[in-house]
Amino acid sequence: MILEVQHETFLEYSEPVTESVAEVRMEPVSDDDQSCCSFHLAIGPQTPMFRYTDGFGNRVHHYTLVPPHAQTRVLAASVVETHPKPRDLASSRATYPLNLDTADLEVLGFLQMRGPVRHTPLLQPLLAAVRPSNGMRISDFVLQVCHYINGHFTYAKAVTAASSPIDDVLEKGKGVCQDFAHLMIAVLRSYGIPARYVSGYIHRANKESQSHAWCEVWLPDRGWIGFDPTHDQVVTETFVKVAFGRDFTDVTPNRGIYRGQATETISVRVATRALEKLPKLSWQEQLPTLDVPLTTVLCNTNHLDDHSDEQVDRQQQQQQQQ
Amino acid sequence: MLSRVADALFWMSRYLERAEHLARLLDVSFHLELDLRGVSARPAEQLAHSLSVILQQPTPELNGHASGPLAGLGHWFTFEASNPACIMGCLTRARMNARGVRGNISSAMWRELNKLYWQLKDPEFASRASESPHDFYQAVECGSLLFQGVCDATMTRDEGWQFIQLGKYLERADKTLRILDVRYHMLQNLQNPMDLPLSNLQWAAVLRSCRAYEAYQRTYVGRVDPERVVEFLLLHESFPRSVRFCLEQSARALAAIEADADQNARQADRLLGRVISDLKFVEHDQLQPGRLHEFLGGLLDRCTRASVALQSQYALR
Amino acid sequence: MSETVLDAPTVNGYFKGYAQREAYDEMFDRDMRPRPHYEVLYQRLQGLPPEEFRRRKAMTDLSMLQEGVGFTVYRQEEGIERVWPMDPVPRIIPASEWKIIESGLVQRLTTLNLFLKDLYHDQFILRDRIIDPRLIYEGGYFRREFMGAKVPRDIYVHICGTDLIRDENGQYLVLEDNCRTPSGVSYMLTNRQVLKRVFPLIFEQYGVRATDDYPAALLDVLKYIAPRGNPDPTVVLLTPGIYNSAYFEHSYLAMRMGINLVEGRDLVVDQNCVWMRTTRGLRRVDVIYRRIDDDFLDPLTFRSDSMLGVPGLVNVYRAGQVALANSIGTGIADDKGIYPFVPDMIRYYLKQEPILASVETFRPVVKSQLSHILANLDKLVVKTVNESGGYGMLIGPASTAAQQAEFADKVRAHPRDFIAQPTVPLSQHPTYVDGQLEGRHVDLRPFILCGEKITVVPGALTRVALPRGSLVVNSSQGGGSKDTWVLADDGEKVS
Repeated sequence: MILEVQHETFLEYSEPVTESVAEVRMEPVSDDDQSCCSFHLAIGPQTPMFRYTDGFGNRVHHYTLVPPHAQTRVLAASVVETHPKPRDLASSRATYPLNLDTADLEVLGFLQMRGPVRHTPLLQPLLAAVRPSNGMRISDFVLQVCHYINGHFTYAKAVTAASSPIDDVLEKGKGVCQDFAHLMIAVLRSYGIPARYVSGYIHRANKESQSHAWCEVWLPDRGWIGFDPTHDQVVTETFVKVAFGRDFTDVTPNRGIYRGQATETISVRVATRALEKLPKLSWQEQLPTLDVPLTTVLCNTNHLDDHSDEQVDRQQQQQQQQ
Repeated sequence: MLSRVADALFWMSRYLERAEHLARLLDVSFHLELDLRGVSARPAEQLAHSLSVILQQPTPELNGHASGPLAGLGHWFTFEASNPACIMGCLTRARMNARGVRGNISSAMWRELNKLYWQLKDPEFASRASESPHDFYQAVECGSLLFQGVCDATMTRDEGWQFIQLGKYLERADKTLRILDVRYHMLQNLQNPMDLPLSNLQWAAVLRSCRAYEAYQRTYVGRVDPERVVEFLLLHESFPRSVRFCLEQSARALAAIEADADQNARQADRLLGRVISDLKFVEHDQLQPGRLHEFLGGLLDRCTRASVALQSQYALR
Repeated sequence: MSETVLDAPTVNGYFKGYAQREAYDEMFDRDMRPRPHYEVLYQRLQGLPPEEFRRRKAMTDLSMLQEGVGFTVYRQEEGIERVWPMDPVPRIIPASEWKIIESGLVQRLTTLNLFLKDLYHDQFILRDRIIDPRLIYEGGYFRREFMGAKVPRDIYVHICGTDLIRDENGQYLVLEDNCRTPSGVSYMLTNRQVLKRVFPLIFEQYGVRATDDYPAALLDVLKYIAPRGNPDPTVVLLTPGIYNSAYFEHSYLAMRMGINLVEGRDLVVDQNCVWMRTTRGLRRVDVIYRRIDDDFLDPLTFRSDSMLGVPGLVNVYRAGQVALANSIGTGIADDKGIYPFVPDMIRYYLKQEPILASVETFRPVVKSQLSHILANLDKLVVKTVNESGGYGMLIGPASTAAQQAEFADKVRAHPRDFIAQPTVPLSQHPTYVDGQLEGRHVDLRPFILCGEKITVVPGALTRVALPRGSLVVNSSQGGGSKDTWVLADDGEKVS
């Protein structure tokens, strides 16, 4: 399937800010399951863009905007051909418990509870509800976990936050795709099954497109396979994978910091469309120019921003002495 | 030089100068108050009011203080923790600024400032402040003067030193202007010949709060004449606390900082230059009672603007 | 550790009642004869009238105060500077001993840098299962997100402070490496300045090697890693600020190197470069000697609530447009959970045997060792792997049953977070206490620099536990320090 994705982020500040420093993870990966045919990124106000590959192999773009500005617009456009390899879960022979002593290093880094995917007493009832028996096929178990989470948690926006640990979704019973993915990862890792977090997009015909998150599970004889607990399914050709990591904090699509006391309003627009063939002229060539004008104001030179002196003092002392 | 360092040096110097000035002002005021007992009505309230105006602080609440309004006043302007502009508040901030840039000042400077701080912090010494305020205020003034002396004797005349001078002289000019403005306003109605001794006393106090009494006496003989006081404190070419002298020193420091700099926006420079020439070529009638307040107010405003311009020019805080 | 005083001949004067226990004594052999390299010091001290000795001790304290050698103890509103007490009796290390220490430290830092490079790139050591990869991935200081990033000249640890102790037989053991932001070198340097004033004549009689070159050597290292081989780079020292307990050291080193001491807010990232805000506008920065932990270094990459760091700094570092010392993610090399594997690393990377021995270490993650630890909590020292500063530690012989039970629970719940070691009776050294000289436990922290080559400054910080019998030498917990003399020879021929 050939999918075209446009992802626009609009940041607006209640008053001009300076020294915005940001990095975005929006460039889709090319791997066994998909090929990224083209990717374009534009930012306004105009500023040089830099790129690096992070420790997981994700492509990261970053930029700075030093002069005062009251708004920033980031537009990412890509064309991706998805060609997922056959899943063939039915014939996977891996059984619980997994023996990982000789497993690939890549795999062993996705077993640890950390960040939002953390040990919490709230997880115990869920672990009691879904428990693999010895000799159970991992693929069956994973599908069971996926199904269970989908059935026992409600999809609802604005209940949890981007920085929420799994405690929040466990407590409230509601959350978004990110929480569902974290939850599934937590369960699998608790049973020694490697699982990682994926961010990307999902294309749904005649429905609003959106940024999405799911997880990938490692089966010794099948490699990494994507599961989407939000929709209770194995990922298909309608999923576009952008980045993966241990959890959300590794793959935040848009992360930034600015200097100033303004409040930031973020609006995001994602559009996807399926194409018959690889386009000659794609969205990015039709992109409107992104010249958000620079606002000319006096530099706000308040260095302390909204942090109190005591907070700074505390951090200064907190530095470990070796 | 790092902007933060320049900023810290500037404010270290300014706060110390402010503390010194405050100490002298309080010392002189309390002396004066003793002289004025029985002459004027409610001197403590008057004093509180005029100090508040000069220092741009809210008038202190004095009712609660057990040992009389004057002790309360002294405490408020000297130690009161809730009044960040009190002497100890200024000294604390001077020291904090110095501490952040210890590598940029001489160790002797740090030592003097540190010593002064701990001396005044000493509860025993501080308790003497209420019994013998003079000793206490004297210690503050001496400490500040000692610091300045050590600074001049041990520091290279680099950019840092120039920022210290800027802080000191801008603060000094500002304070002299405020004293003149407030006092002149209050003493205007002492025109009656009957009030002459009182007027003399009051104007001498104005001079004393700028450590200018002796210098004035050496220049002019006889009673203290308000017009001459104004002229002396505003326009004297070489008295180190006259407004003109302070501003000229500030301009010199600024010029030294910018000597090898590629600065287009020299707003602080221009503002200072204009104020100085206004002082140099002042029309006599601008200093007349009816217009003086307006003239001083204009000067104060422009000094503040110069200081603000300076900070944005060097990306100080 | 037993408190039984060995049956040894006593000595008069300052050493009257001087007690030797099972610990190795730096100055005396078991028969209370001064070791050859201490002979001169011993005679000199004995010849010093008590009043004079007291005066010299007071002089030491005063000098430290005047040098402004303080660490900050924090209290609401204002930091209070306290002086870290310095003992006037120097510790002496003869040349032959130092030679072993030096070569052992060079071997160790060479290895740790090879290990870090391997870990953040090919991970051969994990592939070959010399170290269990899970141990690394569970380590709090491993920076997975930094994998694959190239660092200048492949050096990760430029400044290392390694803590050595001596066992009952006087053998030097590595207790731990400090590969993140080791501190204490300013004490090493100022202690020497003070002691030369206090005991000039004794000093003169020994051929003591100078330490004063350290700041210059450090600056050479920092310049060596400058981007694009810039021969005249702008180097700065990044401090958390004046409330940090090591602020004195930061400002001292910056001053001695003649470089700017900056805080996070002095720096700004733009165009993939780091700049500092000066009165003349923005100036490019090439090398940053940072004394801020990884977590706080860059709010964009690490802890987003950090107010001390520089947003975007890590990306500039990644791009090779600025150099950092030490590099990012070095904490995994001094992780106490990794410590037991350093000898294996030395064999793996260098095909050599370790020159310096390590302290025997038990790891609760290994089932058999866990039971050994739990059965011997009253004899072992249990340490948290991710903390430094002497906190989060159980000293078995000095602990209560309740404390042992608490640690047993902790160790069972989080085996990866702990290690256990036998209680090594740190060597003791005569120390001035109330007009007498008494034995107090000491350790040794030499500083190792890695630039074009690895050098060990001929000197060290000797930390001394001042309370009688205490084994904790940390400054925050009642420790003091001593000047440490590394001799140009074995100190036997001086007269």
